[in-house]
Amino acid sequence: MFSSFQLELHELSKHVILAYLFLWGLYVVLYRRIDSISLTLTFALFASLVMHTLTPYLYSIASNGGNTIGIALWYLTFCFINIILIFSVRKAHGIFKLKMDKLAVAIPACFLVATFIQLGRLFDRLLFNTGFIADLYVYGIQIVNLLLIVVFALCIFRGKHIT
Amino acid sequence: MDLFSVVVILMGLLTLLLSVNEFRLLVLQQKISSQQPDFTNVLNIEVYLATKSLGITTKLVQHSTLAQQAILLRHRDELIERRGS
Repeated sequence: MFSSFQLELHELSKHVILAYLFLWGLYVVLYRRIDSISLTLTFALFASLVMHTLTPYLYSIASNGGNTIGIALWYLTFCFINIILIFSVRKAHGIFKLKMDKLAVAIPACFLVATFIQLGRLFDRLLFNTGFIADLYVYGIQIVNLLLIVVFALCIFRGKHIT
Repeated sequence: MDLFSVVVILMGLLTLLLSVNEFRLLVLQQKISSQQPDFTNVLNIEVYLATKSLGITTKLVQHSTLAQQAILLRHRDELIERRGS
């Protein structure tokens, strides 16, 4: 059913959360301060943990007969978590009067791309059901996750220049 | 296509609009915060908690305002007290 590359990607996603946790912890331990990046990393980690925890429950609902409610619940839940993350990052910066770093914008941008992919697949499943979007969904989400790891790592180097 | 699918598609479109709008506001805030002098790079949690305890909202704490001067004076008093003891 799945190609070996797809299975490898699935295995990879299990370690993505651990990578986020490690890089967030590294930033907190290295700099020990509340700044734009630490705040955004915390929200991104929390959102990823929530999505990771919800995934098996949503999958069991979505795979049960493949009804529209299950499909909608699967894609829209992730989209709403992404929107809540972007909203929280913006609000927190406003409340604490923090200057927003450009890398701090890159993290919500990755989540926005993930939202586009989720919605693209939702529309495709309800309207056309083509295999092309299905592949794009599988690889796209994993690429966004890997991109987030790169951005998390870049944040650690960027932290040196924030004073 | 049934009615529920149409509702889901409408919800999807609404989600798309919401997400784009939220990101637009985020980029706008990034531009505003980089130009405003009362936005800081690192949050001083002590000052933030002091403003909270004094009942001053962060909107009032700007450069050269009475609110900021009150917080700085309070911090100075606390520092003198600590040094004295």
